[in-house]
Amino acid sequence: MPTSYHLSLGANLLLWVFPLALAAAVVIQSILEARREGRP
Amino acid sequence: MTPADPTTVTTVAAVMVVYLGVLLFIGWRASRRTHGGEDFHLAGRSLGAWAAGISSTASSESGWVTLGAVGMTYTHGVSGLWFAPGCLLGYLVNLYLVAPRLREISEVQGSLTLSDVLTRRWGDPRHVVRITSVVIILLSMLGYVAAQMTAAGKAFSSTLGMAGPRGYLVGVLIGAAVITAVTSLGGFRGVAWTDLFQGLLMAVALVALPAYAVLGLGGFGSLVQKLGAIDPHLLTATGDRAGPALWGFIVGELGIGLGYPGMPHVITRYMAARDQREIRRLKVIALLWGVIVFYGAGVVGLAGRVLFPTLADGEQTLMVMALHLLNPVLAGLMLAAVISAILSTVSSQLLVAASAVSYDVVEEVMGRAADDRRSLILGRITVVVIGILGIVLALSHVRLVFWFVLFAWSGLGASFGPLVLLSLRKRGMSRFGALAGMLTGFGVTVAWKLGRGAADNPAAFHRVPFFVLAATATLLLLGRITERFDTGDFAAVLAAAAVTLGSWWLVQQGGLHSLYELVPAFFLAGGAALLVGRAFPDTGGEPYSLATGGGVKPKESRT
Repeated sequence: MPTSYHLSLGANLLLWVFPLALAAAVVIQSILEARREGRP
Repeated sequence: MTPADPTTVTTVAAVMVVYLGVLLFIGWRASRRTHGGEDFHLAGRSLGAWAAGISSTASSESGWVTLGAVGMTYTHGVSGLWFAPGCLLGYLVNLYLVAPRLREISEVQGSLTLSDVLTRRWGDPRHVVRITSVVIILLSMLGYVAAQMTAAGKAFSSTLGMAGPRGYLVGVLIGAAVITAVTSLGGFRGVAWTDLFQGLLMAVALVALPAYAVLGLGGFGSLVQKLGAIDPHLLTATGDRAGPALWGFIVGELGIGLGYPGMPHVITRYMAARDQREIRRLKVIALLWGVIVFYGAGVVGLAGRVLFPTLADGEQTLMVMALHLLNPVLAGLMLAAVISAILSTVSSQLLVAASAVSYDVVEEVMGRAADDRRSLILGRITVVVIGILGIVLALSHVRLVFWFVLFAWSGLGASFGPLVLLSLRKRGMSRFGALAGMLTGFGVTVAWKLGRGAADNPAAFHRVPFFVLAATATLLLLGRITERFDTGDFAAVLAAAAVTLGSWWLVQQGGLHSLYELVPAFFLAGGAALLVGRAFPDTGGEPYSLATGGGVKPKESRT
């Protein structure tokens, strides 16, 4: 069973790290896509 | 919050005049490039990534992001920020699952509105799906438009220091007149371009203001420390919830995102993008905008709690902060950003409502096929009529209209979200399933929402079965009299009634009433659509396959 510490840690990660990871992922994906298409 | 100092009032008013002037100028520029129906309803499918992307996001985030969301973190601290990942999940679904396919299918179909996409996708010989979708859109959008005009009136009157009913009247008239003029003149292009301007203003404001405030407090560490000193609970991500209450809270907050695929004023932006390359670019732009705006608004609320801990209304935090921390010109820009959030949503909703009437009802259902020029004039007149109706409703405070606003986000999300996602699949549905999905989505939303508030208003909740039976009987009778219903339509109405009544019973069971209504409504609507669609297949629709480049006949070639 997750303890309150684990719950709190998970909640904080979802709340704060998720958007940063999301932003980084879409930027990297778009750079890779542009390279594949030969765009600058 | 009223900027009492006369110099500040004058400066803020001057900034507002310039801001409104820019909106009108953009509307006028857009009108010169709007020549026909497709231009008016969908900007001639010519939008670039920035206009389509920012317009989709600015339209979806109304005044709640600069007022309500800020108030959430002001009042509840970090746990008030849960709306942000929920909304971003909705953005992900829209941008990665909906946008590319919807743009493609709508172009091949030649469809101009969401109702158009659904009816052409599943076939709709007697306009049952189109009329139902138009009614749901109009009920939701009219309430939304009136509520947003009310918010704009209050924002204008408070920022310009005009107190009392007279100030409110002037505020509503200024905001509504400008945005109705822009929408009527510029159509979809005018709305998208003004959304771009306003969306960028919001993003700049929600980066600059929180950054300035946090730096003034001595950095983020210091902000956290000071928040903890006010109340340690402000720093807990779970808001001290535990067990089922915590899970219900998190599922509900993340469930907000389920609404996005069903918002006609948002997803039509993807249909208006120039090509798939612009869609790929707009994904990045829209997602980054969302991260900036949601977290910027959250941090404004957190910093505001430290800087102004005794505010009676946390939703005023951004305006109070701007007026106290910045010089009048910058404060005026921040207040313009608050109003931008409202007006960018009003214009999009106004246009969707007008397109539903002038294009879906007059041109398609009534068959008054118009040439391009007439279609444009009809669209413009409809925008003005709905705009005036919105102003009248906003000024008269008709309770019934604002009652619909309570259900608008979840109702639209559950009525159309599952259908949009299913319509982009290859098969497995029919027009009867589409009807069942829309009715179930709206019905379950109302029943569940009333169930959640049953403690406050038990009478309304206990009347739900009566209303469901009355609505069902009316629909069946209408279908019979007008001879528009097939067997599948009758089955769809009965299935929607059964699921709605089932959800009314379900919400009374232990613990479920805390669940946000959109979550059950979305999945029950999707399930009902699939079940009825499978039970009553219909081959009248147009097969669509992304893999083969679409199997849909273009509009022009239809007989």
